[in-house]
Amino acid sequence: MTMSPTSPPTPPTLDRLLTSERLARGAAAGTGVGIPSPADSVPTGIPAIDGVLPAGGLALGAVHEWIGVDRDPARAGAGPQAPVAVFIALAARALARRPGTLALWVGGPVQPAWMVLDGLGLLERSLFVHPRSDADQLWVLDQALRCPGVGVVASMLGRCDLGTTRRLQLAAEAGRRSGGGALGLLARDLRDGRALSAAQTRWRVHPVPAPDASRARWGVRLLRCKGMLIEPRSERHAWTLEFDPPRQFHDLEGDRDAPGVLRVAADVGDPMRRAPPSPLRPYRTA
Amino acid sequence: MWAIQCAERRRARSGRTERHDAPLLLTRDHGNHQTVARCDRRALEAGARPGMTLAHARALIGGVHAQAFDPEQDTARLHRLGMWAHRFIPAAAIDPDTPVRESPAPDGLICDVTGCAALYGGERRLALTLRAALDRLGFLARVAIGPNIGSAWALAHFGPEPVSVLDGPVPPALAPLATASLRLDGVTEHGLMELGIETVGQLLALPRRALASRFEPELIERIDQALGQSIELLAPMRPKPRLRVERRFDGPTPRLDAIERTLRDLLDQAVAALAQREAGALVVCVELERLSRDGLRTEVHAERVTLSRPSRDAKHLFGLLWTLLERVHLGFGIEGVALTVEQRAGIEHGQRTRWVEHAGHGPERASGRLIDMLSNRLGADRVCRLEAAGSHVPERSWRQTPALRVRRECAAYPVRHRPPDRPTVLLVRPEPVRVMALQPDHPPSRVEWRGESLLIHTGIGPERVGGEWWKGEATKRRGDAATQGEGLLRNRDYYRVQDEHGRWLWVFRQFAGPEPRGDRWFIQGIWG
Repeated sequence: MTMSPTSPPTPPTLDRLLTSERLARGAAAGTGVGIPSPADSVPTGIPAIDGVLPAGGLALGAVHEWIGVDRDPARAGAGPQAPVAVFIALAARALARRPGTLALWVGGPVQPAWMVLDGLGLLERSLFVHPRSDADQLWVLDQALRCPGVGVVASMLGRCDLGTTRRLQLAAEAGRRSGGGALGLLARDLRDGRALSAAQTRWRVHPVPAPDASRARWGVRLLRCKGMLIEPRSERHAWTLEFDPPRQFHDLEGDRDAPGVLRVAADVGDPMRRAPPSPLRPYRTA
Repeated sequence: MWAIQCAERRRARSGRTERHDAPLLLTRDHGNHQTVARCDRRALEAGARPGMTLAHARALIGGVHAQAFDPEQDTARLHRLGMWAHRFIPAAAIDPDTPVRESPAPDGLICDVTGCAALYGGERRLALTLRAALDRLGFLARVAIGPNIGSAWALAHFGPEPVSVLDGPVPPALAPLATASLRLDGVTEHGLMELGIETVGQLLALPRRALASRFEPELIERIDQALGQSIELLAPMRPKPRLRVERRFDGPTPRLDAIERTLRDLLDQAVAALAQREAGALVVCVELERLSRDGLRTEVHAERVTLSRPSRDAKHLFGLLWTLLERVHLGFGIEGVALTVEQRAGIEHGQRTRWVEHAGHGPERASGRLIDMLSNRLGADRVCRLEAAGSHVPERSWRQTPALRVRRECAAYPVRHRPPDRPTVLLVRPEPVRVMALQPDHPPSRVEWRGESLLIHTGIGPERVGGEWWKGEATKRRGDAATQGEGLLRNRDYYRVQDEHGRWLWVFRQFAGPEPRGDRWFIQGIWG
């Protein structure tokens, strides 16, 4: 008995299907949903992240969820729960991409400080909306995502079901079809992180203690992205970012689009050494 | 022809003045000195007069509040007052002959009161009524009624009484008044002065031919106008006709679709009318005439929408109105629908695109519609823009303005050079925290905030932010004797500190006095 030189093709098992790149991109399903082209996306400005995302950035005309609350908001010291710094950095990118559009900050928890917006030149293009109820908030988000004159919509979403997130995602896609394409940024509670969602991407974001840093740092992990396979707990999809203050942004005048407000902390090395001399002296406590 | 002249010295009613309760002066720059353009009642009673220098006025009145005079705003206000005056009289005009030396902008109204006196029981009663009404509005007015514009002007500006009615012959009434009351220009008035002619009576006694040969023909013209021998015309202001379309039904209808259809038709009519005027609607009001509960009378239910920018897009206007009208209780039926464009503004013609309806619309126009929609449903106060306010203390450095009230484009904002590192989230007001600081001028090592004790890893600072010392007595430097200032007046030292969870907090120490014992700590913001 001789062995045949070619073994018969193995039947596609479920495991294989699940790890197939083609299927993950939605091509096999033939729907065409979920793969934005690079023209419809805005780069985050962090090459490490843009290289991983299928469209080279965050899709415009889509909703992106940021599961940001590290702790129970019922506890007193929780403070604001939305990753506002990340939202500001992304809003700056998206508004630079689409001139003349507005940024809508819907609800109290995502209201950024005016000085930071001012420093980035976003204050004149920001609109602050305070809905009375959750139903009003959803209506505002729906209308804003549909509007071609809106570049960014940021809000904190309470507990909601798959249908609600799908409504928002469809509204954003409708906005893209009518010549717009807002970047929807939704902050979610950690408790709602496991709920089903129709968002384009889902991220986990939390502050990272760094006793030797001089700026705020966040750990960011990509949990889910349409058209892409994510290995759970892989280090490839987790980054530590540092929020660069506006001064860095403005020092690089002329090449305004290239430098981001966020950068990977590892690239920075010791930020104290690189940072321009500051009038503020650093102190270490015991 | 009857004329009424009111020269009002207006009381500028600004919030600041009423709070401080100080006499108010409006001033304008005049070369290297400032002169008083307007003064309010208290300043007037204290001896201030328009035309005097600000230094003079300050010497007369202690604690006076001076503010820059804005001629455009002033004229606009006078125009509004003229429109208001139409409730008493049929025609009003802004007085073109203002004593320029005293007043940089028109400050009087000329009104035609022909035939009105009978309605008020005589001319004097009319003048008194008008003056009382102006007084209630806050204007200190002088009112004069005369047989022609010239004599009424003279009596209003130079007459002995605040309210004067001239019903006898003109020359004796004007005789004691100064020659300036004839609305002469400066050169003529000066020439008469040099001849020793100070009153109208002296002037009228001179032979007319001599005057004509020695002075400009304007003098003769002015005398004739005052005596009623020459015709002077009034250029009355006209109210902008309101744009109103309405439709009445045969009988009351409770059907919503009929009302919708009617509203669409009315909007189309209104939009066509707006297009003719090259204008767009800013405030639109819809009135539904509803049959009352007993079925005998009708009552009017009005809904109003305000827009962020003028629009004559029927579809957009319908969307805004219909969300309001949907909720109206129709009762036993609607008898008529009326649509009024209450405010409008000019709008440029745009190139029409042929195929795609929304292709030519820029993002600004789309976002303007979104602002309209959000503001009219949520309420104007809930859709805001932020503006920098005049303070460097963080919690007072900004204010929210309803987006509907901000009528400007998304302009390029002046980029600050090297703005300092500031937190991304500011608390609405600083919250007190308890801290443990090992050394007096160091960042805290432990912060207790909202019942949670946070260990501080890193701290950067201090950054000194001075209090608003000019607003009251306060410390300029820690250790000063005067430490009675409250809250905002005190100096602060800000620290950026990182807690054990990696969050960066913006905390500050507020100095209380020379001893650090009474200092209080607050948290102002978070890099969230």
